[in-house]
Amino acid sequence: MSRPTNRRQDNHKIDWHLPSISSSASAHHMSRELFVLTYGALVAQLCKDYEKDEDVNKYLERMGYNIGIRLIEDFLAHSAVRKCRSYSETVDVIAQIAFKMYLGITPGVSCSNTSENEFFLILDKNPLVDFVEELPAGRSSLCYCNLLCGVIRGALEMVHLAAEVTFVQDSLKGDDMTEIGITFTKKLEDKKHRRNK
Amino acid sequence: MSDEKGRSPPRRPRKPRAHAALPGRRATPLPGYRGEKRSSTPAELRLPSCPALTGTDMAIFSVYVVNKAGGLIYQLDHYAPRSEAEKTFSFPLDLVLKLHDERVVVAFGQRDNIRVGHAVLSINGVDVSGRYTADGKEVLEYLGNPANYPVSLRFGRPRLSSNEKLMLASMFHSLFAIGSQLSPELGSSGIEMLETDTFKLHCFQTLTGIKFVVLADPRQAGIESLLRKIYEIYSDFALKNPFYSLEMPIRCELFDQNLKLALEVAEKAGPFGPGS
Repeated sequence: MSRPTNRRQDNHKIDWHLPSISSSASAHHMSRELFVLTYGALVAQLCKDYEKDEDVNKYLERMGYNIGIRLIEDFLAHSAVRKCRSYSETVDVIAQIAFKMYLGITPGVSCSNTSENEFFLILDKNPLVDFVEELPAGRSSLCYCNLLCGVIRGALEMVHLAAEVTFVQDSLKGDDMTEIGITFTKKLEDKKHRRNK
Repeated sequence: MSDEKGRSPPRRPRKPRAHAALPGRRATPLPGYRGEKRSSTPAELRLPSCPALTGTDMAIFSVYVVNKAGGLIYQLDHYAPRSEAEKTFSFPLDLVLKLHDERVVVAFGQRDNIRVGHAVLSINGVDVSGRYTADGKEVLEYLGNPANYPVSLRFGRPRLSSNEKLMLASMFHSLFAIGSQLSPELGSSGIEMLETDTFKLHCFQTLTGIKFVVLADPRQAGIESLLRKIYEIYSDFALKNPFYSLEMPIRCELFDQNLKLALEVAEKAGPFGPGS
C-alpha cells in the first residue's frame, strides 16, 4: 500500500488512497453502448428461452428486483440522501438523483389525480431502447425495460416502502410516451411484528 | 499549569504489542502532538493510566456489521490492546483461581500485572483452551498438584469468542431499537455513539437497516467519515459480489482487504481528521 505523504490533511476530506473502482456510473464513464447491448442481449435470450411474454416480463422484473436490493445500498452510500419524509419526496429522489446517477436521464414526475399514493415517471429519453425500433412480431406485450420496474421495486422494498411498479405506457408498444407508474401500497414499518418472511 | 523546570514529558517504556512496528512509524512522546518540542505537560492532557493505551498511535479496535435482524454478519479485530503477564510460580499458588464461563480466571490475589478477571492463557508456553490445556488435562486439577511445579503461567484479558460476539451484536441491536423508541421526538437516529473512558463505540445505521459499528480509541477522530467509507466498501465489494446473499455473513476477500486499508488510513489521519 502506498504511504500517504506527510502533508496536513484537508480538514474536510480524507484521501482514502483506495483503488478507484467504485462503480457509480457518474464516477466512471463506462461505455454506454456496452451496457445497452448487454441489456438487449439479455432480453433477446430471454425471448428465446420463454414462449410467453408474461414469463419474459416476470423474469425481467425478478432480475431487476435482485439488482435493486443491492443497488439501493450503492445509491445511498454514494449519494448521501437523507431519509425521505413523504412519498412524493421519495419519487423525486428516484427521478432526479437515482436515474441521473445510473442512467444519465432525469424523468419527469407527476402525481395521479385519483390516488395520492400513485406517481408516474415520464421518460422522454430512455437509453435502454436506443437501438430498438419496435417490438418483434408476436411479442406485442413484452415490456422491454421491465428490469427497471424490478429495480425500483427492489430498491424501495429495502427502505421499507412496498410499491407496485409497472409500465403504464410504453413507446415501444405504440403509445405516445413511456411512463412508469409507482403505486405505494403499505409502508413496511412493522416488520418486527411479522414472523413469517 | 506549566512546569517551570521545562522538563519534556517522561518517555514511557515501549511495551511490545501485537501490532507494533508498522513500517515507518516514528515514536513521539505523547499522542496528538507532531514534532513540537514541548516543555511542559498541559494539565488538560491527562494520559489514561491503562498501559496499553499510551501508545503512539490512535487505534481502531474493531469493526462490526450487523444486519437488519440483529445478526452479526462481519467482525474484524483490528487492534486489541493486550496486557498480558507471564510469571513462574511455585507451589502453593498465591492467586485464587476459579472457573467462570468455561474459563479459568483469577478471583483473588491481584499482583503485578495479573488482575482479577484475567484468564489463564497458557501453561508452560502451551495454550490453554477454556478449562483444559492443549493436551486435555484440566487446568485447576493440574495446578492443584504440587508435582507439576514450578510452572510458568501467562495471564491476560480473555478474548471474546465468536459466539459471545454474536450475542453482543444482537444485544446492541436491541438496545439500539430501544434507544430509538425512547426518543422524545419521532424519527430518531438511534444510538450514534457510546462513550466510555477506554473506548468510544460509533454506530451508523443505514436507511436500509444495516448497522456499522466501530470501536475506537476515544481520541480517534474521523470515525464518522470512516463509517460512511465502510458503507461504501460494503456496497461495492460485498453487495456487488453476485455470489454474496444479502443478510448472510460476509466472506469476501476484497471487502476484507479494502476495509483494512480504510482502517489504516483512518488511523493515520489521527485526531486531525474531520468530524468526530
